[in-house]
Amino acid sequence: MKGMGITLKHLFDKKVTRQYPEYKKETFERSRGLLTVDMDRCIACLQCMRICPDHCISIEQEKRDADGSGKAKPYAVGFVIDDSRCMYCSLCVEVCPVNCIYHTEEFEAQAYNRLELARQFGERPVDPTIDPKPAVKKKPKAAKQAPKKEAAA
Amino acid sequence: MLGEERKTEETTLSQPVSGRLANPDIRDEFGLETIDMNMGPQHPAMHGLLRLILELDGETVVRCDPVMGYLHRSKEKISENRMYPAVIPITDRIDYMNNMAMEYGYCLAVEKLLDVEIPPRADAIRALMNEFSRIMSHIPSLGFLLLELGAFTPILYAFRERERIQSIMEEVTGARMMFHYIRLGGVKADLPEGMPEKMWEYIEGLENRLQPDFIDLIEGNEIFIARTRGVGKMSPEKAVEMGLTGVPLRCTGVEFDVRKHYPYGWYKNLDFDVVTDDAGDVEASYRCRIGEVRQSIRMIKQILENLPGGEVMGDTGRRIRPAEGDGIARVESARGEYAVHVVSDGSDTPYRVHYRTPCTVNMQLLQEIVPGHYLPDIMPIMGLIDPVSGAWDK
Repeated sequence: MKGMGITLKHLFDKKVTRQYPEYKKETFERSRGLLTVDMDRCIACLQCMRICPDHCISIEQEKRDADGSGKAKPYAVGFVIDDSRCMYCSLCVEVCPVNCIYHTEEFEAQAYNRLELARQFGERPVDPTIDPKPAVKKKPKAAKQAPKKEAAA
Repeated sequence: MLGEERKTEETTLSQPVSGRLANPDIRDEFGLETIDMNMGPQHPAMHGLLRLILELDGETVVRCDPVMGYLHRSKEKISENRMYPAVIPITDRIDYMNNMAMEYGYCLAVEKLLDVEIPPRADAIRALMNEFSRIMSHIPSLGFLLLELGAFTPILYAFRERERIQSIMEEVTGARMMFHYIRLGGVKADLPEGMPEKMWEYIEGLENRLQPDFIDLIEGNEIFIARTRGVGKMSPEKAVEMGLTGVPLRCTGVEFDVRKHYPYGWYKNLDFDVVTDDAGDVEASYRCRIGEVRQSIRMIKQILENLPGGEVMGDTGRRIRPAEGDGIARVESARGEYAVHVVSDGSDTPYRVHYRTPCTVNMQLLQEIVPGHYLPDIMPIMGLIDPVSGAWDK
């Protein structure tokens, strides 16, 4: 009987469900959606590519005098973000020195083909299937120091 | 029937149960042998991917061997190949119901090797988010327990609460489940403007809703009592012997909580009780979880009342390279004691990371407790352990 009372109370409560495709949930300022790049601001420092744990960003870099200053600077001719690998950890956004890579409010990434999920931003397409970087180099300090210690002893 | 304790066969409990073939000695008066049956790995009621090899005598379970490893993702090996900050998103995916505690344990372990001072505000926010994460895990686990007993309504109320906390979490951290919020040296960002008031409003609402939606509806229900009282009963000695932690240990009456007995972070400043129960059965675990949600609400209120000001991120330097050595940290996750052991060789990546997840240890309970129970009692006992597939396999 008690349970029925609770059910009746909830029957006349405000509804809490949303009919999804028609009504989408609100997004917040910090919501981490799909990544996008502002290519005008990118300085091709490759830091996002290096920090990405899932290797989802690939950048093709070349030296070019893009701003007409007479000096050839690194320039990103190809920039691809592979959404099929991205886990939205936001490490690339935090590391970017010019804030050119950022999360949008978009969260619906679906495609019929895996390659469609790789979004190209540069003027030249980059193959997203190639691993953009080798595994992190390990530099064990101990190995370097060991011979010195022996010499000192 | 109501309120009676079911008798368990003492003989089967004392026998070694692992690696035995179907036992031809157990025959009933018609000469029928026991049968072997597989439950899972894909089972509608199972908490993730777990295979139970059951030996059945009629409807009574004689032997229960859990087979783990169907969701093994080699988290420990992946952690060895990633830089220290990039391991945090991996730890999120270990226990995907209570992610915040997983991040917290790893960060505490690495911070023991780093020369960094955690600002008090970061410590307080870490504890605050941890308690929200605990509520987010405990309330659906009650819903799952009831769903397995055939009650469909509580899971809807449970997920309503979880969704609301997820919205709060998204506003603070940026994601609904895989937060990646706790960082080495602090937290990612301060609470947004107006967030403490929003949290306070939600917590007060939850406190009011807890009584009608989760206690009045469930406690005292005849079917609930018949299915849970005396099921999965174990003694405190047995629980300690098996090395259980978390709710399965506390529901037997053993008072052990890492937050209380080995306090870390902001928990030193908080006033809370360790919720225990004497019965040691499924019903007791339900009461423990409700009690822990109440304690979490109490802690969140305390933190919000005295939230210190200042920075939320300590200075770790641009490149994180901990000193050589090993760091061990233990935290109380929603499922029990979670410990992380990080070994550093002074490079960018950890030399070895080990995650001690509570679920792996608590799963022993299935082998020890289930024999002697009926087949449908397995699911309430799973509700007592409340395991998460990602956490027992890693």
